[in-house]
Amino acid sequence: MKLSINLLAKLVNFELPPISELTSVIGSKLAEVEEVIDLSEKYKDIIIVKVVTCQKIEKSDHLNLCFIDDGMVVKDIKRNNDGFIQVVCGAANVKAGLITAWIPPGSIIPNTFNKEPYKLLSKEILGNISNGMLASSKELDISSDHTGIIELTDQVTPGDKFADKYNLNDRIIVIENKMFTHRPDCFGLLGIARELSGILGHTFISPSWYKQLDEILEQQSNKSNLSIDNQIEDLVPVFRAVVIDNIVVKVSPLWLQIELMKTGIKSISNVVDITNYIMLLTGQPVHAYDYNKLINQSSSTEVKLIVRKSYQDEEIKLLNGQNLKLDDDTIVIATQAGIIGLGGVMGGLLSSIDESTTKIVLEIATFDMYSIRRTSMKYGIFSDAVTRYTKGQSPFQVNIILSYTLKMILDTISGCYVVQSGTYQSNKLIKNQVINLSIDDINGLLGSKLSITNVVSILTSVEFEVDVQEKSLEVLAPDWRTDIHLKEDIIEEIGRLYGYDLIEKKELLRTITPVSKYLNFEINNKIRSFMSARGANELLNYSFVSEKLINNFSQDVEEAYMVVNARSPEFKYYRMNLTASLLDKVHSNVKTGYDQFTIYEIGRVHSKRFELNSNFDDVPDFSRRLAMIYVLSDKLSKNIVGSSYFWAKKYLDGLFNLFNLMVSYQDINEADAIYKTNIEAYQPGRAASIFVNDKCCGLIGEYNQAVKHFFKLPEFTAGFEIDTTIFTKNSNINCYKAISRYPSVYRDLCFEVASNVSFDKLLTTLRTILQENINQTMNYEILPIDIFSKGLNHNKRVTVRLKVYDYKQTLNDNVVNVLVQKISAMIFEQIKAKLV
Amino acid sequence: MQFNNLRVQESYLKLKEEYKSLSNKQDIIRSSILKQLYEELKNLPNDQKADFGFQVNTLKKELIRMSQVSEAEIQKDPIDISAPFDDNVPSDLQPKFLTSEVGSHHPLMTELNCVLDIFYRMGFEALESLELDDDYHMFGSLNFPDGHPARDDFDTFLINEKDKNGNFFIAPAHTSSMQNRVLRLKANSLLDNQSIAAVIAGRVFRNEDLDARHEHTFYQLEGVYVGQGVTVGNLLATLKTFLESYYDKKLEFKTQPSYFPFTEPSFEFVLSCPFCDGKGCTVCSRSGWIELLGCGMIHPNVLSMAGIDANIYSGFAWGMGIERLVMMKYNIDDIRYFESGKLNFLGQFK
Repeated sequence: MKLSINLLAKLVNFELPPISELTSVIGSKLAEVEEVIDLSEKYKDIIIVKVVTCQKIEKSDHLNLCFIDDGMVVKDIKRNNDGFIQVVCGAANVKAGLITAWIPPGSIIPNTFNKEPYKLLSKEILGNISNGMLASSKELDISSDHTGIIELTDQVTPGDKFADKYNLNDRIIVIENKMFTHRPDCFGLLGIARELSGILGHTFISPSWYKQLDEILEQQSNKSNLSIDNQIEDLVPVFRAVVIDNIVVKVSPLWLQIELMKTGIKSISNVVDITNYIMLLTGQPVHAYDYNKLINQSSSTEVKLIVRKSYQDEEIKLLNGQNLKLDDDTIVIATQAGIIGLGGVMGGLLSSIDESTTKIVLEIATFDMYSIRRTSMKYGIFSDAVTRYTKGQSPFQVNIILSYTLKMILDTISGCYVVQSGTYQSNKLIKNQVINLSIDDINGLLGSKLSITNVVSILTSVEFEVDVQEKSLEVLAPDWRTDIHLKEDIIEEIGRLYGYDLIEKKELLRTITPVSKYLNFEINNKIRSFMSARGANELLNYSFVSEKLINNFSQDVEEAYMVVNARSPEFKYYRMNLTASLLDKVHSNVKTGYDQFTIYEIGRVHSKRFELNSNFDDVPDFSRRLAMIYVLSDKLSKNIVGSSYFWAKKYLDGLFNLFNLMVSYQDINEADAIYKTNIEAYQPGRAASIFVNDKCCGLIGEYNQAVKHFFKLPEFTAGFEIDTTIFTKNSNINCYKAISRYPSVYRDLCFEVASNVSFDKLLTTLRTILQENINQTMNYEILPIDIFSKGLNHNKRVTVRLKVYDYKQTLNDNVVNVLVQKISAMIFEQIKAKLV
Repeated sequence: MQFNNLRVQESYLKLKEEYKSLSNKQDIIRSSILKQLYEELKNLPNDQKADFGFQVNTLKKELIRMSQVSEAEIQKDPIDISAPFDDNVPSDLQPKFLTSEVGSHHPLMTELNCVLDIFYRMGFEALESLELDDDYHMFGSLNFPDGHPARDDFDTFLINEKDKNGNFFIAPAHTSSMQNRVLRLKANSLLDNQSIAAVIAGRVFRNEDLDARHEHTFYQLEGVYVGQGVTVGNLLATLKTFLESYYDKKLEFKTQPSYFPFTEPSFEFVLSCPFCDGKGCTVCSRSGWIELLGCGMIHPNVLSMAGIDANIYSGFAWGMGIERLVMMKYNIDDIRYFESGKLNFLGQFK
């Protein structure tokens, strides 16, 4: 929002501090200052001049040679004997006697000031030197009008500085208005001026027109016939309309164009500019219709303004050219012939003011902020009126603003007069209520040491009414404040105007009870240290993925929660696993030159397959996951023997060992329903479902050719995804084994066994046998060494290293030999494994 | 892939067999099995045509997908999934972990841990926010009435399923969605004269266009403190203590008024730039100040909705972005790196 300091200065009754102090106090007590624009610099060189003589240049079809009177204010410039300056001008409206604006040589043309500043020089045009130029409204960056040079009709004399006469020695403060979501009054300069007074310690007095209602004088006439039919009182509690006749629509007075330009509003015509100016001043939108157009459209002698909800599929063309087909829930203003505007949002094109307009209907109303918001969101219309109405403008200022608008129109457009006024006002309007609070309430919440006098002075400075009753205060917020309902609202007002920065910072005291750390974070951190210490890189991916990614990983998009208003199809669904997102990051990293890497992510996934979460108010449940991918580029994998599967499994086995969990790898088709949904993404025979305590908790494997193709994965890629809730905090509490002081005995054992006996089966059998056959004082460890196979139709040979030790004595070879013999016999008996 | 229609499912299985035997996988689309299905479709009664047709078309799409899997679904030999390594692999070529030098921690997680550690030491408990939540926790419990325009300040993603109250589920746009839950959970401790002190970390989502400074997904840390006689002065002191500990130096602070429906009063907490000591640098855009977080005193309506008597207890809350802290600390110029998965970025954070 752009604020003109000059306009603010006019509204307050004290001198504003220097700009740096002003912006700093606005920043700390009102709203964030984004930028300060100094207009005086932009206009400093522009001089008001009179065209003394004007002659057509013969060789040109439109250029004129002019001599101008600058009141002799510009130094070092070539003048004729009469002291006038020669300028070439091509504008159609240039003529002797015209008062206009001149851009002297050496100065910057204002409309290039903020882009690529263009410095004007004296130059020769068709043999004539032109000293600078006479300027159009467009060149002065006031409006888009470039039909001719600007014509100044106000009380000005040649030699006056343009900036002095037209209030351009001004600075514009641009503020962030997010702070004003609940402050409709601050969407008008009046509200800002009031706040500024309050924060600078001055008492604000609203202008008399804002406090006291002027009577509207109607000149009796039978030339108009206006009536109001408000059918939705609850949504439109106040609706005023006034007919003004004898209007002449033309460009606005220059001062008005300039004030609008300063705040970034385009000048359109005198009538429209006045309505916009009123809105800038007060925050209250005003709309004007062409009376005769309304009459013609309704083929009637009367204008009946009907305030109602739209009918299904009713259509309207708006002022901005947009065609809308409405639903049945939009506030509209209509005549008998149909809709003429979306109430509080935007007027219709067919009833808009143009140069032919001679009679207008002025509308000022209050609309329900919720309904305006719905309309705005539904049709994507974000007008200045929407910005203001959605903050909840006070219905109590409608009448006073109407009469001030009329006064301004009557003052600006000579000869026009009010012929009729219509009123609708609900009797259900509720005024602000008195709020009681004590000085202890205030200091108790703020931590301040304010006195009653301080508080009264702060509140009355922004026109709150305060009645002091010993230690308590009775506070009444003014009508224009629609945000004050609780004592906390009053305390906020006091704290902000006083300044939070002045409040003493006071540290809290705490008990010595230790807080426990959050378990899930602790487990994640343990996984993280393990993985990263083993060369893995932690990634974070978006929670949202595309339909394509879901399909490419053989998942069913119907099972994913969909984001209705996603900006891009890339982020349309909640991810159902972490693996697909990780796979999506493989190719780009290989391309960047990473030939061997492990990436992992710890995160949460959602799926419609999960139940609703009864611990969390029945919101969709999630699953905590860890996923990892091991990648070796095609360049390097040429030299490798074996399967990528085991490289991924190396990490997973390590993790299970870290958390001291027994894991079993089973056929991937054994996976439970949650994991089974996309087992097709894995390569048959080279993937497994992971079981801990007989419960499926994830998948591990290589990916099938389709997945490799879609994600452009190197051939040697594998990974896993598991539920991290299987890991618990104290799971490695039993990891310590006592150390024997006696030497261990090692034996490499090679078993020949059928190819369909799994390694796990062999190992489990071996363990059981050992468990049953060693003494209580003994212990053992098994280390896999080698697996040798000639193919599926041949037996394989599995070699492990057995380490045996005793806590009480040095083991003698014989004991171990006996043990090995027992193993040999039993393992053959149980799984036909032959010790060789 | 699975088809409800038995006839289609049966054909699919046959096609898969045929596919394996084909030398040119493209030929699968021209299989007579598929043609046969289209013939059968013509002769079906009208009421069955739609469903059957849909399934056959889905099957065709799947075949096209299969045919594009260039070379072939190379039938690799199955492996012993329970083994620690392959058959016939010499011990020096058996799987190994990568070396620790190439490993890295995600900087956001590292920094979050660092922040949590300070709050643990200050006596705050930690919790996590939800990544998929309901309208009540995002808005209703935080004093945003239904349809209130203040909801628009939080460009919230909506989900295509409704909650038990008939509102769309949402992707939470702030961790404040956990305030009501935390307050309800801990309300009893107030009766034992224990204050509620908690921080809540999690992912939040905003429907915003991406650029170097804006992400639609980012991490926030919510703080909540409720007790008796808690003041704005306490809030300011708590944040100051935290930030001075985090940056390990004395800092200047100021506030800017702000508006959140769930705090009253509300403000932005601004600190003197810790990188240039307020002199002005690229991190603070030469202003010397850094706007870091929004905070305020918890609105009495929010306390009441969590079953806490706002006449007896008061408290404060704040919400702080984690990315911002990390970007400033490491002078990272683009927020999009965090979720880019680029190892040349991530690998730098050991």
